[in-house]
Amino acid sequence: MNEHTDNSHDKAQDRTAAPAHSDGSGDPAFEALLERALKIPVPERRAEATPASSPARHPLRWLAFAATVLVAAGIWMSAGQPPGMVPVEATAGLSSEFISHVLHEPQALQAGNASVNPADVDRVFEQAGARRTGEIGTVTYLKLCPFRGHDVAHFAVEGIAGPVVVMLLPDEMVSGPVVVREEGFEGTILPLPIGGSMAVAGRPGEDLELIQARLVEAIQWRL
Amino acid sequence: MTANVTTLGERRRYDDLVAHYRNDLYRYAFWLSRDPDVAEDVVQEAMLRAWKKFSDLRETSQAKPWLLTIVRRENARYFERQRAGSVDLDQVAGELAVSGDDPDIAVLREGILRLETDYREPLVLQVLMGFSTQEIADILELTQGAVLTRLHRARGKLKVLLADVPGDGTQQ
Repeated sequence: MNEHTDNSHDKAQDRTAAPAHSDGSGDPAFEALLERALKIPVPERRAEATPASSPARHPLRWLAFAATVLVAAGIWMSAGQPPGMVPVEATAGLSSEFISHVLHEPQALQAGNASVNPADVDRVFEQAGARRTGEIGTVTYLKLCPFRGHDVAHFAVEGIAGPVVVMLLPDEMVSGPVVVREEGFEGTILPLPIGGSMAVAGRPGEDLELIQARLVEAIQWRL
Repeated sequence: MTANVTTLGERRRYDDLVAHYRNDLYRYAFWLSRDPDVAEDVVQEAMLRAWKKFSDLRETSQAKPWLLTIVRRENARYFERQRAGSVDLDQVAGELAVSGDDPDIAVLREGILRLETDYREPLVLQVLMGFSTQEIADILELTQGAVLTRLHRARGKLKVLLADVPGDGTQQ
């Protein structure tokens, strides 16, 4: 019979191929009932949660996981950048595209912009796959931008030398911190231990390390 | 330095996949363990394990059997670790009955709960998870003939139960 030799992955075909229904599935009414019976209600939180985003029944385990991520991020920052710096040439494309994008939105660089509502920040971050878990400073520009095929958060925070532009790049991986020094900007594209990277750039004289450290502490990807 | 670091793109792919299959996986875990709490634990552990091994999954088309196998193994590990005692099927059936208003459904659910695992699992894999008998044979490491036999017997047992329900007209 067909069912003994059928390699099809199609359930319907599999269950209806043989006239004799050797698996006993020949009664459509019974099959419908059976399917309904097997489809037990799924607990609400199970339907919504993912193991990477919800502590669910093991909060300590997930706290530990989160702590690991934060510690790893901290190690990145405390280790210092120079030893692991990646030559600009190695990732010149990403660095250049970052700066090109920044230049394409000059309004982000204007001093004296009004601060952006934190709720708007959270909303755009969420759309960009990120989450604000701490203080990131005064945001003076914010936009969800298409960048290399993804919608990313492009924003500016107040620095001592003017606006510091930031792009959260969850889908861009760099093998180490990348120096950005183009078009009068100085900055870094930082790889993050949890994946992706963060591009930060400001005018010469800006205290970028402080801002980077603050951002790394205050921003997490939506796991 | 970054060999073990995955991109968020992978995490999103994983999240999408899990969100897509989560209900099925929970139900599969439930029918394996016959315990809603254990099913939640098993799925939770399985998803963590799936994430750790996500790079092993080369083709998205294979995600379903891949996830299912992880749940299946996690269920076995759970019962091995816990040396779980017998499940109070009366209580579980009662809890399920509360959520189902069709008496036939309640009878079937209790019947499925009381089926031997050898019969219950292929039935769940076929009806709920949509696998072909050949795929079930591969998953359970049985011959296709053995799967067909078990499916036939499982349905037969359940139909007998339904036949005892007054006024039921679904059975042959």
